[in-house]
Parts: sequence; C-alpha cells; structure tokens
Amino acid sequence: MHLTLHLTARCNLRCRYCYAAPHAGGDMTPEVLRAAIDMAVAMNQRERPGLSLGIVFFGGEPLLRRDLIHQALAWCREIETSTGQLFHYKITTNGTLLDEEFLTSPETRDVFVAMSHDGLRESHDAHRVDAAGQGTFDRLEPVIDRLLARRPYAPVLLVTNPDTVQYFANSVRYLHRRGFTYLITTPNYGAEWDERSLAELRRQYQSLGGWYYEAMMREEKFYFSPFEVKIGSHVRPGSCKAERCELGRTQISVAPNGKLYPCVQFVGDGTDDEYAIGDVFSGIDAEARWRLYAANGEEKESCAECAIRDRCNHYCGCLNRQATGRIDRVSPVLCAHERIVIPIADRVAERLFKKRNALFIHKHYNELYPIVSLLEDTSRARADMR
Amino acid sequence: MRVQPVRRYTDPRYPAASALDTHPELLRLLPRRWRSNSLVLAGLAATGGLLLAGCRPSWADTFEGELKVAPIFTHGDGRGAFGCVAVNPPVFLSEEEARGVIIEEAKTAGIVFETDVLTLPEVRVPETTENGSVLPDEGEEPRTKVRELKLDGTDRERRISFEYVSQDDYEAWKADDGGPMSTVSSFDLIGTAKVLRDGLAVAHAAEDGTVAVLYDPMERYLEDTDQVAGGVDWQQAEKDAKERAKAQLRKQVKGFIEWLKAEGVI
Ligand code: SF4
Ligand code: SF4
Repeated sequence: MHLTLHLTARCNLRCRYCYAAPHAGGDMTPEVLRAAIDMAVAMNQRERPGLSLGIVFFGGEPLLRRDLIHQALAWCREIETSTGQLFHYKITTNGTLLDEEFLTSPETRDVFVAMSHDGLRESHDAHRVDAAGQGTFDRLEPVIDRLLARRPYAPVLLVTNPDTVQYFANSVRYLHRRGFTYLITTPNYGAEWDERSLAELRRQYQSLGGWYYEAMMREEKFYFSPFEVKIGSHVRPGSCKAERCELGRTQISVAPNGKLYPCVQFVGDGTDDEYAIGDVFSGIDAEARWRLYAANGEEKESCAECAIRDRCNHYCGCLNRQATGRIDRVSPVLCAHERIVIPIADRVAERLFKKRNALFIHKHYNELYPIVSLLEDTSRARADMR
Repeated sequence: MRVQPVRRYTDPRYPAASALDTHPELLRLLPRRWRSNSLVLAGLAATGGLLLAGCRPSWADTFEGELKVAPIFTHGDGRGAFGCVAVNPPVFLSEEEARGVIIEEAKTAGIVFETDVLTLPEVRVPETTENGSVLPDEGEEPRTKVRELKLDGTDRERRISFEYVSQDDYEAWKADDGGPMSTVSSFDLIGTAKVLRDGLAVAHAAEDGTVAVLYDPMERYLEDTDQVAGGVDWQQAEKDAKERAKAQLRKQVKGFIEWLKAEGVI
C-alpha cells in the first residue's frame, strides 16, 4: 500500500495544466505528518501484514518542505526499528530544487526520485513555467545529469497537451537519449482535445511504435508506459484492472490539512468533501472508502459493449474525475486515447513476437523479469564501479 | 466528442502469458546481453529459467522467417458497384485470368510462379462487406479474421510470392453479418488488398520470403458512359474492359518487379 503525503500545496512553478493549482491550502504540519504515517502503518499491518509500506512525497512541490521529508523519514525509521514494519520511499518532483545533497545524503539516499519533464524545449517550456511565466527547460538540464548520475533508473513523467502534441514522439526520444530508461507518459486528459490534435496524437504514437520496435530489436532495456501497459493487458488478461490504485484500497492521499483522499487527483487544496474518505486524526471512513471503491468498480454503461473494455483505462475513477469531474463518467478523451494506443501497441508487439525478440518475450512473459533485470542492473553497476 | 465503444477487435497475433503452459521453451530465448552475464545466468538458473533449456524446440524457433511485404502498386480503381443505380458496372478478372497475366509478366524478370507452394497458417485477413469500404474510418481498426492463407503463386527458388485479391476472395472473406442489406453490391478490392497487406506484414512464416498483394483493377464496361446513348455491344465492351484490366494488372506486376530490384531481392 502507498501513502501519498501532499506536504504542501505550494509550488515554485505554475504549470499551465496543473491539477493541484491554485496553490493555496498551506503546508502539512508535523502533527498531521506523524498521524498520517501512524494511521497508514496500522492499516498496512492490518490489511497487508509483512509487506512494505510505500511513502510518497508529493505536492505542490514537496522539496519546498525538505524539513518535513526528513521528519517523515526519521519517524519511519524509528517505527521500522521498533516494529519491523518495512518502508520504501518515493518523491515526485518538478526537479528545480533537486540538488546533490538530496541525492547523496545518507538520510535521503534511498528515496526513489521521479521527475516531471515534458521533453523537448518547445513542449516543456510551453507549459512547465515558473511564477514569472519563464520556461524551466534550461534549469533542468544540469538536474537531469545530476539525477541520472545518482539514480540511473529514475522515472521521468511526461504530459502531452493538444498544443504540443506534435513534439510528443521527439520528446520521448529526447528524454530517452538523455538517459532516462523509465518513461511514463500521459496525455493531459483534462485538456481540450479535438479531431485534429487526436489525429496528430495517433501519428505520434505510430512514430513511437517504430522507435519502440527498433530499440527492442537492439535489445535496449527501457520502459515506455503506454505500450508496456497495453501489451501487458493482452499478455495478462485482467492486469489492467488489477493494477489500478483501487480508489483508496491500496493507496491513500493525505492533503496538507490532514484530509484523506483516494488518489492524488482528488486532493486539490483539501477542501473537497465529496471524495474525502476521512482524516488522519479521526481515521479512515471505511464506509466512504468502500462506497467509492464499489462505485468505481461498476462497469460504466457507456463501455459495457466495448470490445476492448478489459484493456482500457476507463475504470480509472481518478482519471475520469480529472477529465469529467465525476468518477463514473468516462472521459471521451481517454476513450479516444485508448482506441488510438491499443492497436498501435498490438501491432508493435505482434512484430516483436513474430521476430521472437527475446527481450520482448522476457519482459512480458517472464514473471521473474523484474528480478533478472535487477540482477543485470546490479552487475552493470558493479562493472561501472570497477 | 463522445465515448465510442469499439464494436469488434481482432485478437492480436501474440499470445497471452498462458501460452507458456504449453510452450515453456519460449523463455529459452535469451537476450544477447544476458548470455554473457554470469550474474543473470546464475539468477535464471536459480529461478528455474534455464532449466527450460533442455526443452525440445518448437515455438521458440518455428516462425522465425521474415516476410517482406511489398507496397500496393496502385493501377486500377479496384472498386465498383452492381445494382439498380450502377449504370457502368465493373468487369472482374477471374483468378485464372489474372494468374495467366501475372505469371507471364513475372517471367520477363525470370520469376517462375507455381501454385500450391506456400500456405501461411495464420494471416489477419480482412472481413469484407457488400456495402462500402473495407478500409476503416480514421481511428478505427479494420475488420479482420485470422485465417489460413494459401498464396496464389510462389517462386520456390527465390521465395517470392503473390496473392491476387479477386472477386472470389471478396465473397469468401465476407463478414458473417455481411453488413446492412442494400440493392447495390459494392466491391472494394483495393481496400481489401491494403488490409491484407498489413495482415501479411505481421504474419508468421517458417522461412524468409517476399510477397506482394495484387488486386483486380475492376475496369468498367464502358470507358465513357456517353457511349450508352449510341447503343452498346456489351460483349465487346466486356472484352475491351478485360484487356484494359489486364494492362493495369501488368503494371502492378511491373511495379512489383521494380520494387524487388530496388530491394535487392532479384
Ligand atoms: S510542478 Fe507539479 S505541482 Fe507544481 S505547478 Fe507543475 S504540475 Fe503543478
Ligand atoms: S475504449 Fe472507450 S468505450 Fe471502450 S472501454 Fe474504453 S472508454 Fe469505454
């Protein structure tokens, strides 16, 4: 299970598509922080005994409250020593405040870092701007080097928008060339997509299909989320549904004011009551949590007859809410995206399977692939040290 | 913009993970990097991955051939309709008539096509309809069905093949529901050829080879509908139309030959 701590609603950037804006609502207090961790530990021990608890530092920009990150880590380590509860940590950051100290200090060294970056300058600077409206591409160039030197497998999170979609494929290529091997991309579902921008999105995915195929044929190890997930949904039927956050069942977001939500998309400034599922002091409202979970699990009427519904993300209440304001109303943009990406991912997979591409086969069919892959990374790291 | 369910989706041509139950040898294929990495090999052995190395080969190396597929050489409309509103219907070239033309033209480049040589076990073949285009709307998937496909001609030595899309194929590949009823039967042989081409591009083949999809040009009875006014000898018109169709088909074969040369196949 994951506990996402929205340490602050503030951010030093003003990304034009930010769903966390306006950046009001203040910061989390140390009391809320501790209470949130205690609550999650108790839940984890009850519902998933023996399993590690993931702590995710989120915002706003979480690095604005580095002191809270240190406090959280210290508190978790104390719990670990006294109870044996294991933890793993992750931070999602815009990168602008990511420094060498955070990446190397013994306290924060094992925090997994995911960075947002929209790729090519044209794409990135169009949306990821600071308070003065200036693009942040240049500022992030040295950060990428720093990050990948210390965390070679750090994921990068890319959002594509209708007005920058023509740069999508080259942005992915750019980030891959820069050294990111874990590429997580998503369209901005909340944006105004039209026929033209969707047609462009299709062309971009087609181009990425060729790129993916070639890279796999060269046996380059990387992860490109839209294709991996969709190929996975065919290889392991049902995986798409099984991997969802399950609206509050396997992940809980804590707003700075201590209110609990089923996913990061709902947090906002922590004033929304419709989707709140309790707060850190009074605990989780089990009924509200299950009600949401059940409501989300129901097949959407609009999708009941669809031939690809088991492979589609339409059940993701968080995405639906982001785009349509309601968890049970499927976003037409999401629908269009799924109809574009699934056939393209399938054609690429067909070609790779036909070629009996060994990396493709292990990546998608070998359940032990993550372990073997880790062994490979370990041996590479050892070789680099020699 | 609306949520738009996908009505049909052909099962992709790569298996689900359950295929490992019957074909565990798939995991015997190792990425090149792993083969020389002792830590990875030790890990694989420890987790049972390499124990599979003793399995007899089957799926792991059955379909490793690469089928190179030529583009469609567009000569002739390949489209037309029969029925109450069709004043100038198309003429079809039968499989046999077309084969004669193709074999003859290919011979000029030293290609010797024989029949009944190559059958591909599973090809994504278009599902045709009596009404309208076989090509999907923008953003839609074509309707296809996975079938066995015996190619119409193959040069054994050079492993060059062709498949000619005829009226008979069109009839044989009709979707079960056939589409809505209409007083006009329309044929989209060029669309069929295009979808078939894409299917062949991902088809499994035991050995390397090259293949082109040719199609019936579907020349009209009359080159000019004004001819109707002056009275028409329909038998002669059919003969003329077939000759024009053969000439178009010849151009398709010539295009294929030029492409084979450019690709270094011949
Ligand atoms: S960095 Fe994140 S929180 Fe900050 S403005 Fe951009 S999207 Fe919003
Ligand atoms: S593709 Fe569209 S209609 Fe089909 S399940 Fe997804 S959202 Fe629903």
